[in-house]
Amino acid sequence: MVGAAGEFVGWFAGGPDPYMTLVHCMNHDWVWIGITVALDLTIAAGYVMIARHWRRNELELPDSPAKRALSNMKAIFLFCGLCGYLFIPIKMFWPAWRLYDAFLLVLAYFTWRYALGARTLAVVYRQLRRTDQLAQDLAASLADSRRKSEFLSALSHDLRTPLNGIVLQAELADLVLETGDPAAVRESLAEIKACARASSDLLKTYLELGQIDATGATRRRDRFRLKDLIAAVLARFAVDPARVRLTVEVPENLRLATDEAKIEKILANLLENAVKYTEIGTIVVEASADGPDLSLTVTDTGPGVASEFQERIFEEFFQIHNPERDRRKGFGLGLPIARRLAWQLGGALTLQSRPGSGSCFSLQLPGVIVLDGREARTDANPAGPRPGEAVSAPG
Amino acid sequence: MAARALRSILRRKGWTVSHAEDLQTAMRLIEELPDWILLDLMLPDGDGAELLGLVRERGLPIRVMVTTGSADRHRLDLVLGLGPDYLFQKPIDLEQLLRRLEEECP
Repeated sequence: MVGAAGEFVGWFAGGPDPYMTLVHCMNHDWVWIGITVALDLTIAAGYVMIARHWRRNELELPDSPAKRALSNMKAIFLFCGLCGYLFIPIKMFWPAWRLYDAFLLVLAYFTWRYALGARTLAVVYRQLRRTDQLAQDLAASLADSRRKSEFLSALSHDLRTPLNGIVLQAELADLVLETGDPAAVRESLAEIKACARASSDLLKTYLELGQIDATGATRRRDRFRLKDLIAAVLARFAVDPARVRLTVEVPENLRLATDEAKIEKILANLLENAVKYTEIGTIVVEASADGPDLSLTVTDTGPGVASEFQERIFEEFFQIHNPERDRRKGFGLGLPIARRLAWQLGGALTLQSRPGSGSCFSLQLPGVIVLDGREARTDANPAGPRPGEAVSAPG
Repeated sequence: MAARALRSILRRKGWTVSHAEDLQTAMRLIEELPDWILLDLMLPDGDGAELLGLVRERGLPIRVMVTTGSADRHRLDLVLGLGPDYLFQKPIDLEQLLRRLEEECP
């Protein structure tokens, strides 16, 4: 027993004479080395199969705990396979490390099993991708639902408030009639009319918004002089020249060929917004041509818009600093309508602004300018509402 | 304009009414400990729910009737969590409102 143990220790330590052991290994262990190399090559081949599979799938796969776990397994396979090669010289000196070949054998088995199961793994990848897609769809759907909910809530409030005024003023008029005070009745009636007008304005604007979504891109090519249109739109606004200076810097001969009604509406909404928020200061309407493309800006010296609100003001019913939804400040639909119309004309409406320094709304319309009596482009190329950004009016 | 009409109606019905146009004025008015507050949630300088919260936090013996045009379920739940005595959706049903007032303060 002791002899057998001593023999094992001797074998494990490489024999009593290290030099003789080395010679022995060099002469007789080629079989062992061959086995190790063969096992490592088997593992490497399996690994190549797995790597190919990963390369094909991993790039497309979104980051997730499952993906990280799979990547770790790949690293373990690689490490164990490399260890097989590293241990070849060690095994030459220390025959005990031949036991590592047993481990390599197991590793080769699992590598190939894993490599052959790669097809099954592809299903996992597909599921992961699908799960990620579903999560994205859900987030988009929730955001859309939230926007619609906000839209409905604002609409509900804006319809109920004047209705409330009508009901209460009618009740008051009824009470006042009993006391025979015609002046008070007239006052109530005037309030009722104002409330009814507010409801009617809201419905009209709301329907306008719905109509934009329904009509889609424009094909109209009216020919008109831009300066005349701007003058006609400006005439609608009562601006006190002592408080607000209005300047129009538009070339006399700038003629457009596009949907005049839509340009008019965009201009009206932009100017209404500028007039509403510029109590004292200047409003400048500028237009310039870059070949066939029109660039029109409406700049004001109003309070400006903070960067976090610069996209939100184009959302339906959104208004800054109007939490009470005071309808004297409008409904918050003018800018969303203007932007949608700009999209329908194939252009874009953007805002540059700094709080305290005013705002500059810029309308870019490609291919709408009439050059030397002919249209810059005969076929409109309207972009239409951007997918995912245009929220349909619910209902 | 609806608030002014309601004030006139209530006065004609014999109630003593004070009217605050904004949250700050309303905060001052509650010091007079009225029996009722008829509160709109959307005020020019803040959220009417703040006033309700303050009344409840200080344990003031004031009944609060909230009126709102909002249909936002989440927001209404938050307001209900503050414990208003009544919540009316706009347009206000005047008969119902007067009935409540008369029942509670005969």
